[in-house]
This record gives sequence, C-alpha cells and structure tokens, in this order.
Amino acid sequence: MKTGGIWYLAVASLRRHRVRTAILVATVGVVAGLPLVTDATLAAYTSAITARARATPILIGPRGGETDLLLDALYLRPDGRSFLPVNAVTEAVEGVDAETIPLHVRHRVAGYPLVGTDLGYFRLRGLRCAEGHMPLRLGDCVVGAEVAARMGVGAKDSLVSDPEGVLDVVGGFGTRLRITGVLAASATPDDQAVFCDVKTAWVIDGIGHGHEDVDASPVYGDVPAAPVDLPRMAGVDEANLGRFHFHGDPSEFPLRAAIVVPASASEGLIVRGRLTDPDSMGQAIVPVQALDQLLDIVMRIQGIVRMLTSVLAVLTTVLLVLIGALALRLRRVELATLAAIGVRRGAILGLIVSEWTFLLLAGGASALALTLASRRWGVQLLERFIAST
Amino acid sequence: MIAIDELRFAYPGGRFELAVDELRVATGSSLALCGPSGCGKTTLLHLVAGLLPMQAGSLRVGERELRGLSEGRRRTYRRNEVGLVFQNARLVDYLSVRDNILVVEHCAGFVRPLAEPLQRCVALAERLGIDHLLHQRSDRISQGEAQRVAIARALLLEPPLLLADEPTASLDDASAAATIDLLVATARDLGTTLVVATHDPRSRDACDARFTLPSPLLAPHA
Repeated sequence: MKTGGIWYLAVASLRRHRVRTAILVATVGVVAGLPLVTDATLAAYTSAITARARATPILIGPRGGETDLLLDALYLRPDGRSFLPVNAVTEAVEGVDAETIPLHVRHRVAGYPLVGTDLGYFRLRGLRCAEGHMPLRLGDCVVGAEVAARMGVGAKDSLVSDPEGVLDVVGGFGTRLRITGVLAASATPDDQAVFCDVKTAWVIDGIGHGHEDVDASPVYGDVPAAPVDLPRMAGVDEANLGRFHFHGDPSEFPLRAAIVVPASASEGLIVRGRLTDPDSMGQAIVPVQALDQLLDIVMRIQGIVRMLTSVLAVLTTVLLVLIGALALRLRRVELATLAAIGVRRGAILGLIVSEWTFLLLAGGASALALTLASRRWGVQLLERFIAST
Repeated sequence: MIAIDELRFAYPGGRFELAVDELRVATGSSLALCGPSGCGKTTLLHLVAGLLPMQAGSLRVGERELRGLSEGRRRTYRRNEVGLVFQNARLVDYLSVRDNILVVEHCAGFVRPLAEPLQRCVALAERLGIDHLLHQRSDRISQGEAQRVAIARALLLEPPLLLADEPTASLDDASAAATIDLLVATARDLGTTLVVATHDPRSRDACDARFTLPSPLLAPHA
C-alpha cells in the first residue's frame, strides 16, 4: 500500500461492515432501479408487442375476448377451451386473395406451448432453421431456440407431448414427436415454443390416429378376436405413417385462430366485414388496433408502479437518514478520537460523505445493472408471465 | 516547553474548579501528573492538548500561547505538535493496526501518498515491538498491544509533545509495566516531552518529575 487517504478509509469501513453495506446498496439499487426497470421493460415490451402485432395483419378467432385471442395468438398461450372450426375460417376467406395460416395452440411439450400451424407461419415471422429442416410430415416438429437450449435437444431427437391432465385416464399418454429442426433465435415468444403441422396437433387432439396390428390381439381357436379397444399408436414413424387417419369432417376440426394475410387492404376489409355479424362463430380483429386496449392496461400498470416507487423512495430516504444517524451514534467514539488527535472537521465530514457517496454510487450502479439486465431479459420474463396467465 | 501560570478552569454549570498557579516542564523531559481522582489531571491534560479552551491564566507550549486560540487553530496545533494516548487505546475497529497508526496521514486528504509515513510507521512498530501485528485487525489484538499501537499512532508525526491519560489504567500489571517503560523510553529516545496523567506508582517512578494536583476545589453552590 503506497497510497491511502479518506477514500481508502471509507472503503475500509464499508468493506468491514459488509452485510450492512450490501443491504444498503441493494435497497438503493432496487428503489432507484425499479422505475428504470419498469420503464425500460415496458417500453421494450410495448415495442416488441407492437412489432409482432404489426406483422400480423388480421386474426380470426372464436367470438369472445379480443385480448385473450390476441395474446393466445401472438404469445402462443395454450388454450383448451376456445376454438373455432376450420370452416369458419375458410368461409371468411373464401374467394379473397389472402394467405391463411392456421394456429392450433392447445397442447404443451415439457411445459412449452405446442403450436400446430403450416409453413406460412415461419415465412410470416421470418423464422428459419439454425439446424435441420422445417416439419414436413405428420409427427415432425421444430423447436424454438430456447426450448432446444434448455432441454438440450436438437434435430433427430424426439419429444413427447404433455398428457392433457393428471385426471385424463383415457388419453393420458403423450404423443411422440420427431424433432426435424431447431429454429434460429428470434428474441420472440417463438423461441419458447414447439411447432408442428396442424394435422399433427389434431392427432394429439385424438381426431387423427393409427392403430396397432390386430394380429397382436388374443386369438381364440382359429378366429382372431377384435380387441375391445384397438391400442392407439403413441407416435408417428416411417413404419406406421400410412396407417394414420382422421375421423370426422375436416372442416369441423378445431383451430385456436388463423392469421390472415390479405393481398390488399380491400381484401382485408372483405374478410373483416364477413365476420361482423354477431351471430357468426368467428370474429376478426386487427391486432394493432386490439393492442391499444392492452397498452392502455400496460400504461396504467406503469402509472401504479411509478406511484408505489415514489412512496417507496420517500420511505427509503427516511430509513437511510435514520440508519445514517444511528451509524453516526455508533461511531461517535471513533469520530471523537479522530477529532481529538487533530483530524480536521472537514476530513471527518469527508469520511462520512465519502462512505455515503460510495454507497449511493454502488446503489446507482446496481440500479443500472438491473436496468441493463431488464433490457436483456425483462421482455422475455414479462412475455413468459403473460403467457402463463 | 510547557509553561503554565495562574491557570483557572471550571466546567460550565459544574462545581469543580482547576487551579494551577505555576507549572514548568522542560523540553524532552517527562512529567507524571498525579493526584486523587477528580482533582483535574485529565482536565489539565486536555487544556494542554487544546481539547478544552482556556478560560483564565496562561498556558504556553513552546512559543505558542493556547489562550485565545480558536477551535480550528487548536486542532491544527494538536495535529502538528501533540501526540495523544488515551486510557483505552480507542483504535478504529475497522482498520488494521498499520492503518490505525497511519490514520492521521490517511485523513490529510482524499488520496494520499503514504510511502514515507509508512516507513515511519514500520520503524515505530519495530521500536514498540508490534511490527508483527501490522496487518492484524485492530479488534483482534490484546489491550496491551492496542495501547502500544495507540502510542505509535500518537508518535507518527513526531510531535514535540506527547500526552498520555492513564495509559496503563486498563492493563494488567505486566502489560502496564511494559507499556509505561516503553512509553517513557521511546519519548526519551525521540526527544519528545512527555506528560502522563496517572495513578500508577510505576508510572510516577518512571518519569523524570511529578506534579501533584491538590484535591479538587469545589465552588460553593449557587
């Protein structure tokens, strides 16, 4: 040690009282960082959700809450209750020059949403495979970048869809899916989802299935007995692909929503006009417009957080002053000793001020770090929270 | 070195009054301030140190008359010309032994070069037998060692005057004897004038001279 001084003493004091220092720095960091984090996160969230909404011209979904439809379709929230039949979509776009992208968002894989769609979705969102290729056949799937990273899976691995619920004793086994690719990271909810063809999703619904060979059933004398219930195949592979079939009218198969990309604004108007009838099964929303309601809620939350933070800041300031006063009382012998041995009053004041300056600077740095962290992960966390609610 | 004439001091609102008609302490000598408890030994020491303002009489240290000095000037005088050793070492608990000895140097600026003071610190620590403790935390050493650290702290700036207030009062016999011998010997070697307020007969005997304050004068109740 060739240099020292008041700053050295201030740092020594803070280091010696590590726990107190850490608590004070964390307190200052949180109180100062909270409004910054909220503002940064909500601004980034607003920007992200607006961009995603802008890239989604029209959404068709079942009648009901617009916000739920918006969030389910944009944030891929699995919803097992709200759906509309395929024909509600085909009738709305019939004769209109528009691309229609189905969205089946009902099941999960290892907790991540399983999205049944078609290749148009990947084109619309600008998604490409970082590894492998897009799902081409029944039973294929691609995983988002975060799913792949967290689960440690890649192309040629397989996943099993989550059983519908613990009480689902009939169809309680999941369906095996073959991973054909991993999507490149896009910093959107697509990173946290698994994608398959919509027909694969219908297989998981139980609408489409294959059966094991009847030969495997018990034989009584010369006559093979048909089992009471033919065992369903747990997954689609090369060998059994041809034995999968669907029951029922395909136009009645369920979708959570459909994204419609009209060739022109007037084509879009036609689609929306067809679904204005309150008796129609579906509704058409323009996500950017529907988003205004959501952003209004976001702004209100921001206002509440700001108000709470202001109250918290006042209380924290009072608390810090109290802690400072108590700390001075505890240190009165030390300060009196310094004064007695001739240390200038300004130097003693400088020591106290330096300690608090370092504390506040460290707290400010923590707030900055929190803000930077929120810019990196805040939107993802918020999106995950929204997706889970 | 120290010349006191007709000194009078009373605490505001108190009945005690200190009266010293005449006292002389030669440069480089050591003096034991003795007297019964409450006679004003510490008060006199604090007046000489400039910790208390003079009220009446004259008190000169070297060529400096302390009467009439402002608080700021007394502080400067104390820093530059006086070393103080308290009854309890009163070390700064969050600093190492070395930084306690250097604390006045640390407090002289926000960032201070310490190469030269550090040499003095090490030399003093060696002289006082605490050089092996320099990197120890100051709250992990014995009271006798802490008192030697306090002596080193007081002598770091090589003050011409060293004032010690009951420096052995909180020590056991062995530590007390060693500490007072070390204090007197070090002051003598450095040519520092030493004034020790003490009850301890060993301290009295170790010093060159003694000055006994009379029993306290109690002013009548108002």
